[in-house]
Amino acid sequence: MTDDNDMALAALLKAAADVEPALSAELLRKSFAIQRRHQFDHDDIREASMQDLKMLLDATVDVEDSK
Amino acid sequence: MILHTLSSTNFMPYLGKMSINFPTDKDRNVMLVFGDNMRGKTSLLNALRWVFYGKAIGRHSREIALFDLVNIEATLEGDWSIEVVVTFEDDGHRYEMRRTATKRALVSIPSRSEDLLMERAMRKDDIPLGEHLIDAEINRFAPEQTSRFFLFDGELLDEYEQLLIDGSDQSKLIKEAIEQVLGVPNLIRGRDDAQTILKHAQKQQTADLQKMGGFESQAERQRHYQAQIESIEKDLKGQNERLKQVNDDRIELDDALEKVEALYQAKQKFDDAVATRKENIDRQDDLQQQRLLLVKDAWKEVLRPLLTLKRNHIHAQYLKLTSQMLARDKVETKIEQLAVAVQSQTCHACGQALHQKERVAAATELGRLQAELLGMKLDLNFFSKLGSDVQSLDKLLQPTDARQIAFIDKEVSRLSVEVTKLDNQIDALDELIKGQDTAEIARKRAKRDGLLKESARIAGDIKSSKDTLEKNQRELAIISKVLEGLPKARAAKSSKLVKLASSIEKAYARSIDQLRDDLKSTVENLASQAFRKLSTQSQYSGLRINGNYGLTILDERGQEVPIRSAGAEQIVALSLIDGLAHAGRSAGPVVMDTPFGRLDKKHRANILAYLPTTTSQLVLFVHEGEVDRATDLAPLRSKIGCVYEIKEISLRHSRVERINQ
Repeated sequence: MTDDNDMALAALLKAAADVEPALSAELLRKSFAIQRRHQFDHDDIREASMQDLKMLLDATVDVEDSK
Repeated sequence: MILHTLSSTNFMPYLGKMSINFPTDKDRNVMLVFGDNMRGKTSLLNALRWVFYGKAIGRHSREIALFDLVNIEATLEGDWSIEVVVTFEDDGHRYEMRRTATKRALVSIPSRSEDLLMERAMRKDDIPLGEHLIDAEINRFAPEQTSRFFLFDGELLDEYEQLLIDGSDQSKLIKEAIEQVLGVPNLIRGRDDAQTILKHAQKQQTADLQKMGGFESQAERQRHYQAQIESIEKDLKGQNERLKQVNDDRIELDDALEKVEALYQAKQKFDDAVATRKENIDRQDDLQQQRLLLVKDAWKEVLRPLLTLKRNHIHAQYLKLTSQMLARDKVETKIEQLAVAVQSQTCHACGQALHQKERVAAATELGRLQAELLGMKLDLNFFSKLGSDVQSLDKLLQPTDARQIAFIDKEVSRLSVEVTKLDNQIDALDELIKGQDTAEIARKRAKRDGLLKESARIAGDIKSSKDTLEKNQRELAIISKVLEGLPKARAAKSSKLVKLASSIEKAYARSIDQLRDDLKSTVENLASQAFRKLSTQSQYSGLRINGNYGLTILDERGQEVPIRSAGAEQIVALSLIDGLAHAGRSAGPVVMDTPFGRLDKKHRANILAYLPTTTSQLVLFVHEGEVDRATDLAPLRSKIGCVYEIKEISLRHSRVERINQ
């Protein structure tokens, strides 16, 4: 009964290609993996996915800065 | 996921131990549990719900209180402990999930759910898992949010009919549940998380710009819009909370009013009956007054025949005297004329002189008439009296409305019968509503109506706030765009984070609509495939989906079929569930409680033939009226893994027995 969400990820990649083509597919996949991991979190840990996404974006900016 | 066993102790009607084995052979993956109504079919479904999610669901999707899950006979023996254990395998691992409820220490006799302590435990490959890991494991194979699509009853099938009614509360809930299955919330949360990060990054950007110098005006504008957005978001949060509260209150009132609807109707009928009774009594009083007036002249009607006779007799006498008077007048006139002619010797008619012979004849005639006049005596007083009597009698014989009395008597009698009937009705209704606070019901109805209006008003406020929020967000985005064009500002890390978060937010926001469109098309195709397998109507070509995932049947020309039967509704609902199952997740067990209530034999046969091919296990809780063991199971025999029957031991004690090996 596992929800694999392939359609959701495909929709995200397709939408990003339309509106933000510069965004890397890898970053989108990682961000989506975060949401999948936290999809059934209770409300009291609702911020966990946001914190993980923030860390991912910070790391992405840092990597770009270091280039 | 493959279910292996389900066992319980004192759970609902299952006093003591209960245990069933699920079929694990993939070629014989159908399990049937027969049971009459009120024997415990839904309780088996609830045992599964409770062990996984700690909830049991009753009618109208209401949660059953923990207190009510304990078998009543067990509680009478002082045993307040319940336990449900399910074993299953998933992804190569063996699991055992156990949930118990026991009387809390210091509680002698529990009287409410809080007096019971609920606990759970899970073992994976015989190793106990920590409490914090249990939810994650359950969510991997059977998340609660999607459980309605694999643990469902006939009532759920009915709910799908609501999908076609845009805007209904039920429709929104089902749409949410469907989107949950299909992964839409992941994208919504991704967008929301990106928005939160973007907001924080923009604040940091504002602070950084101020430190840099030269960007004071942009920083000030950014701060202005950020403050606006924060304020609106705070308002929105309050408005949404208020809307939720108002809707919850309204739903609670709806439920309360539904329970007392019969009472309210009785009160309405009582009030109507009392009002009608008063109208009837008033009408009766009016009619009695009219009757009194009519009775005052009614004696005339009794004497009318005699008086008419008398009047006619007197009138005849009067006419006779009148003609006699006329005759006398003629004679007197003639005498007068003849007397003048005799005396003047002139004709009274032509004025010529009378000859002697003619004068003698006139005198002779005069004498004869004078003699005749002597015999024509008239009593003028009598004549006058006759005239007066006729007038008086005519007055008495004038028509009256006395004949109305009979009609009034009939109407009064009819009204009396009506009033008696109403008295009986009022007594019966009074007995029904006696002791009930009908004023409270009226108050709740008025409050419910008020809450409906309030809900609409808040929804309007929310829309307005969202519009303003979007406007401010656009302004903020414009400033960010301007800053991107300035190398110094662009170089700041906060600016880079703003740009990245903004891009991610846009991608997620767009992907939500994208996924919904994709899903609609996919679910429509999959549900149509299932529908063609399940339907017995070869003219139906498939289904068309709407914005709420409601489905309409299409005929052979692709035209929508506007009217469909209750049975067709269930076939459509099953097709949708099958479509969702294949669009959103891998095949797992499906447990259905009383799913065939409205379906004919051919449709039941189609379902029994089709669903085992699309699920890992198909568990059906049915009654004999839905599935005939003798005939319906023959074509399915090769797929049936096991058959159980629920037997009633007593009103509060059922037992499950296996009836095939």
